Formats: sequence, C-alpha cells, structure tokens
Amino acid sequence: MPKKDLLYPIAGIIIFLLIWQLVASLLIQREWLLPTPGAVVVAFAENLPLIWHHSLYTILEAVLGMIMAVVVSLGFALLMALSPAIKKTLYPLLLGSQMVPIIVLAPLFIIWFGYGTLPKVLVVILICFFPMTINILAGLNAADKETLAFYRSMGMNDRQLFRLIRLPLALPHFFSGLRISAVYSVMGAVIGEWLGAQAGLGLMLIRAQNSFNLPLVFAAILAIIIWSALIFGLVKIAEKHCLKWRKYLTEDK
Amino acid sequence: MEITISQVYKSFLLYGQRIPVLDGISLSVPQGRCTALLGPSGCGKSTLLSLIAGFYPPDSGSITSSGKVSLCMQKDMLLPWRDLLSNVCLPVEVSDRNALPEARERAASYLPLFGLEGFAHSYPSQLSGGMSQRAALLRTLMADGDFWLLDEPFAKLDALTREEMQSWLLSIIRRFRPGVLLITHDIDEAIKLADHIYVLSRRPASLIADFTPSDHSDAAAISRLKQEIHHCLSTGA
Repeated sequence: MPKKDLLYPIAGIIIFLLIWQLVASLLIQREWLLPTPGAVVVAFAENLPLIWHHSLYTILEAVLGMIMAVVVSLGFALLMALSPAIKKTLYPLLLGSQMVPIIVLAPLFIIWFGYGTLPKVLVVILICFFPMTINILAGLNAADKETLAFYRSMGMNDRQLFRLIRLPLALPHFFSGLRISAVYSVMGAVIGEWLGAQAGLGLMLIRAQNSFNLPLVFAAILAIIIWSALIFGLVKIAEKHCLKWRKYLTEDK
Repeated sequence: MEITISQVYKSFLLYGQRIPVLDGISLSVPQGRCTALLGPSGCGKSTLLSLIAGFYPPDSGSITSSGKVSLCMQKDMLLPWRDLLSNVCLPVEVSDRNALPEARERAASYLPLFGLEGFAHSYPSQLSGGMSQRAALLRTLMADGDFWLLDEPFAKLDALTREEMQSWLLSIIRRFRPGVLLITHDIDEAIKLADHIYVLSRRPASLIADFTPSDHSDAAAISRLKQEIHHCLSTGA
C-alpha cells in the first residue's frame, strides 16, 4: 500500500479514538461504564501476561479451526465441482448450516464434546468453511465454455483441464474466501469460549465483565482485534506471494 | 496433407427456433498455403472454425484433417498466472512433459522473431495487445500443428498495429510454412496474407465465390481484386 493510502485509515482510527476519548472523559466520566482509550491501553499493558496466557488458547483454536476449515471447504468444493448431483445434494445442507445461529450450536458442542479445545475448533470450522467453499466452487467453475473448448482442442483431457486451468483459476477465489475466514476465525473461537471454557480470551472476557472490570473487557477486545488483524495480514502476505502475477493487473492497465 | 470440408451443415437452437448457420460448405485447406475465409461479421465463419477444431460436430457433412490442427483465437487465451515462456510451451507440456525443457529452449530462441525478446518471464498482463497476440501465435507454433486455424487473430488490435502484425504474420507463415486457415472480415487482410480466398455469404453462410490473388506487387490488379470481392460481399452473389 502506498503511503498516501495509509493516511485515510489512520486518520479514521484517530478520529474514532478522539470521539471516544471525548465522550468517555467529558460525557460519561465513569470508568466502570465506559473507560477512555487511555485507560484501555493501561489495562492492556498491566494485564499483558494474563492476556497472553488466554490468547494462546484462543489463537490455537482459531488457527486450528481455520486450517481444518480449509481442508473441509476444499473437500466440499472439489466434490461439488466434480458432480452437479453432489452439488445439488450438498448445497442446501451447507447453506442450512449457516442459518442456524452459532450461539445455539455452541452449547450443543459443549454438551457433546466437553469444555476442551474441540468444541471451539468446531465453531471456528463452522464459521470459516462456508465462505471458502462457495468461493472455491465459484473459482473452479469460472472458466467459460469457449476457454475450456480451446484448451481441450490443445489436447488437454479432463484431468489436465482441472490441474492446469480450473485449479489455478480458483486460487484467487480461494484467497478471497480465506480472507473472510481470517476475519471471523478469532471471533469464532471467542464465541466458543464464551459459552464455556477453561481458558481463552472468551473466558477472560466473561470474568472481566462479571466483575465490572470494563477496562479489561476493552483490553480483551483490543487483543481480539490485534490477533484477527495479524491473521488477516498473514493471509494477505500468503496471497501476495501465491498470486504474484496479479500485482501487474492493477498497475497501468 | 489437407483439411477437407464437404457439404457441412450446421444450425443452432435459439429460443426454441432452429437458426441455420452453415448452409452446405465445401472447401479444402491445402498444406503449406494460406487459405482465407472471408465473410461479413456474424456470418458463421467462427462456427466453421469451431467445427474444424472439434468443439462440436456438424449436423451433416464431413470434416477430415490429415494433419494436426492448432488453434489461435481472437482472444489471446494466455493464462494470466503463467509467464510468457510457460504459456507458449503449454501445448508441449500437455502432450509430452519430457519434451518440455527442450521446447522451452526452442521457444526462447524464437522470442526475437516474435518481437518478444526480454519478455520470457513477463506475465500476460504486462504485455501489450500486439505482443499478447504474437505470444498466442508462438504458442500455436509450439503446438507443432500441420495446420494453423487463425480466427480473426488481429480483430482486437488498433488499425496501425494490425497492419504491422499482418506483414509480420506473412513473414512467419513464409518461414514455417504451415497450412493456414485464416478467418477474417477484412478484405485487405485476406488479400495481403492469403494464397486463396473463399468468400462467404451472410448467414446462413454458403460459399459465393473464391479468388486467387496472383501477384501481390501489381497494385492495379490488387485494387481490381479488392473491388471484385467487395462487390461480391455486398451483393451476396
């Protein structure tokens, strides 16, 4: 990103923090109701070891869930791309899985699988696999008839068409899905923890909330944002690396 | 070696209605010569080419080719994620992976001839329209076909680039001597490049005339031929 483009997001954040600071310090004036950004940063710094300890669990769940969501979505997308019958069979089920509120499902996972890591990972998978599946599927079917006919006339069989045309064509779509999943993965893990856990940022949030320690609540939120942004950034870097050819598309054309 | 097309009929179903596109076309494309198929836009030229390429079968009639056919379309069909060299060698990669290293060397040696020197590792998005189309032709060459089917390869280029590309293509055809079937709606292009010109009518397309431009240096003869073809195309007879 050129320096100039960085100016706007930074300005936006500063304005947001400024309004927050003014509202908290002039209008509300009660830290247990709305702490100032400064108080949040102080709470964040003071509780760094605690936040770090709980973060490890949350990040493990989020990353594990994302990796498994990649595997699951690849499997679903390949199956559905292979056969229209499978696609028609699976599609309503996958869509339905996204319509059930996570907040309803997560307690069930806890009843079935206990308070450990597994139910949280399941929540992350459930949240993350769908955008990737839909995007990969769209990518695999992105080649038009004429293009496929052309490469077939070049001598490609179905397997070569898949490997040389459809799969690379799906890669940018896959990353679009992965980026969405990256944003939601930490949130998914926190929701999972929220409903019952032994450790994690979600648990820390509940404890802080129950003791009306709002600076710590906001510090936990800050930690969630930082981790989500970090995972998102890593995905962006991986995307840039895998799709080097794309960077020329936006330049001068 | 020859591509022989005899009594080919083809129609398409559009909104429940049969639209005849090709109305009994017979022609042949000889080895080592350039044959042009000239007709108004939308007359069914590309349909005929798709039939020869085997995209779909004709309703009736037969198309036989005694040699390998390789195709070059209006769109360059370069894969954006492959660099130029990997793109032009794709036909070799498809048919025989073991031959790929040798093919890459050969393709690299052709780059200057195709005006692509120094662009071996550029991506298609970094190439100009003319360069992309030359790359597509290099890929056609690398496919090692006995016949090149060129479907309005320069239609997407500006007039100036197109003229340059035509002269260049002529030198390429003379050098590699493939049998060429050039599909075009540009009379000048057909006269400039082809040894033999078939003129097609409006849809449903049938052959209405054929010409053999004899002497390309005789300006008066060329201009006469051009008028004749023009008359042919406008009256449809």
